Amino acid sequence: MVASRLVLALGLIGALVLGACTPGGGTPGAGTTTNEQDVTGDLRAANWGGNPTENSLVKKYIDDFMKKYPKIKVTQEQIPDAFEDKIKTQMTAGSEPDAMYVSTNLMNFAAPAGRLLDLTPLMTKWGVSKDEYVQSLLSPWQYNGKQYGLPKDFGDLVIFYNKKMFTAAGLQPPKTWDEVRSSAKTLSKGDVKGISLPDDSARWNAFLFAWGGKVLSDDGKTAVFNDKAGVDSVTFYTSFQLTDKSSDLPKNLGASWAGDAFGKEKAAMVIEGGWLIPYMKDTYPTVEYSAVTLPAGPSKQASLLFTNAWGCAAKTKNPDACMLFVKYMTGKEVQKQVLESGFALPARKDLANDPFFSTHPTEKTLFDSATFAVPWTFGPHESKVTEAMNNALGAILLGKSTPKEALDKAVADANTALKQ
Amino acid sequence: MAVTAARASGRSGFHASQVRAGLVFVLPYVIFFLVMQAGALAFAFWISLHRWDLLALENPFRGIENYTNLPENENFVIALRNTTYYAVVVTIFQTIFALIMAVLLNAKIRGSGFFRSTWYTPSVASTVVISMIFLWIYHPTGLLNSILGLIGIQTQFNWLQDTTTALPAIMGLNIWTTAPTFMIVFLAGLQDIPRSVYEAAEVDGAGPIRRFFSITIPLLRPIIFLVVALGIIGTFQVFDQISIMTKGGPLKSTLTVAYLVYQDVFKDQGQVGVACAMAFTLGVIIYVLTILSRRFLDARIDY
Repeated sequence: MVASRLVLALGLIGALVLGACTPGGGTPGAGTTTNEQDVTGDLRAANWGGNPTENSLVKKYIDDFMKKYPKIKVTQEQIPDAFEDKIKTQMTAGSEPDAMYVSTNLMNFAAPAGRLLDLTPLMTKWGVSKDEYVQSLLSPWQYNGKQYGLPKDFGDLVIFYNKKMFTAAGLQPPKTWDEVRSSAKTLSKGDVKGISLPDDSARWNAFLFAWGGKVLSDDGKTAVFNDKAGVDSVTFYTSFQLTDKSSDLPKNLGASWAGDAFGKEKAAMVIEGGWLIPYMKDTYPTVEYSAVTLPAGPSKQASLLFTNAWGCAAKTKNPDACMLFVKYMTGKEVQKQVLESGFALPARKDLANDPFFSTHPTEKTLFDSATFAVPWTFGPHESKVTEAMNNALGAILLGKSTPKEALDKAVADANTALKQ
Repeated sequence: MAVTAARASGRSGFHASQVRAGLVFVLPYVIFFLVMQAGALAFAFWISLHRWDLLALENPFRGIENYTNLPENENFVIALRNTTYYAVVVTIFQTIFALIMAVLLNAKIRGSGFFRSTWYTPSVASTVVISMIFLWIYHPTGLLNSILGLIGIQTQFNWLQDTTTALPAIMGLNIWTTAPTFMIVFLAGLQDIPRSVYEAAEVDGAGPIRRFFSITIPLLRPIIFLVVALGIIGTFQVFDQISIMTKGGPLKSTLTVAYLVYQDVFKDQGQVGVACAMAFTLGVIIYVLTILSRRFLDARIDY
């Protein structure tokens, strides 16, 4: 009786201990074969699931990949929320997936820490050239001259405008910032605003760059957005709401974000990206709209670029298989489907003249904006830097401080974070 | 009681082999405790002495610098101020509401069983679910504004996006969810007060209000201490509601220490050590406050 109980207890503990153990990692190394079809291996591939449709598309691409490379088995791991948190935790524990979506946030954390695989030699081995991709999309995934990811898609900012409201007011789509401002004034009537500009640095920074400013110094060590370009651009950005009363925050228009205010026809213009297109189709299908590029500022024409990549874990046991997977997911076959799905824009140059664009002028405007758009990424302390900028915008729009005061404070906050 | 009875019956109740088997059976929990709780705590303290990065392989030692720098950490000061404000308001109101509800239910009125179950419902649901529901209540076109509309106040005010109302809005949610939990605790306490004491007071001519303040409250003091202590511990660690509803915004007006710890660990680089120092400081604050509330509330009761 007693003895059997003892055995049972010890057995239970044994099972617990064994179950908790993770298999030890082997040494990763590239194989000797140079024939794509001979590459073997199992891969775990993690993506965030923004929505069910996008998620099932990734599943389809993975299935297609396995048909093309039958010796490589890919298991999809969908992380619906807090993607970076989970991957970072997995990396600390050594249980990260082989292939994964890499956001700029994850890149800034993981590449300097040596947790991402340098793809440069594998790209040469498997015939992937940087020239295949839209140039501005490559730099976010470079660190110390090495390529740690390849862009899987991107979004950038353009001005969306409500066709009906523009026609009713007898206005042409704006081509200069002065026209944007005067149109916004004309279109503001009652509780409808001409434009909705949120207290978000991911919108204002497009103005900052067009006005010739920068967020960080070239070495990335100090914040510099409180110079004349910073103050002038933020003054212009906030003057819509503060001086002209032609803009308001989405929340004040009864909307959850600027796109929502646009769909509800509470704002005639918004500065958003390609993600607005499927949102409008699903939520506000009757609203007619079109898009124009952001006009040139006093210094140059600029827009913001938001991009994500596919990358590999440094400790993957199958670097060749993982590279082939990244090659396929960022290749023409998948990228053409990305374009047609309407969720994001393809990262490849060879799709620039795709027939899809001739029937979809809004997407064409978005794709062409990439030539002058600046990747929106600010290094390892990005979250604190953008938070400082957002707080400055909020304080100015609430009338709590002047543009200069707010930016000086934000630069001080950002510099504190950058020194850590 | 059971323990003393077992001890009283003498050692002969257990054979040495039974003791051994017993120890083996508690061993999994002891291991779990050492690894997952004591070990994790010690490791967190070790981290708090370093500049620690989540992914880096080498983390330089910093000594107590992470602690001494905290007073200059603007985010931490803001978060601590918000958390204290939050804890004070929520603890006071949830204790008062819980006591009122418990006294009402204890009054043996008809249908008290029904009210006991319905009032307790919010405490059963997960905070995540409650937070989602309150997101809709506080939405510009949500329930709260609709009700205000019915009484003649037309508004599309966004309660969670305003620096003055966001934190109080979350306080309201928290009071609503936790007051019923403590109501049950008070109810148990109330039922422990002997009827004879009330009867004696009644004979002496004490009215219901006098009886409440001179008998109920003093005799409930240990329970009030428990409720206040648990309230302080719970509210100082508020995280879920913040994470789901406001993410510390707008303009850091709902930034709490627990949420700041999470942000510094996962969203910024190399701040795990600082975050652990914050967590330890918060732990010490909670400990001190609990001791203090014991001093004030759990003093020896004299009749």
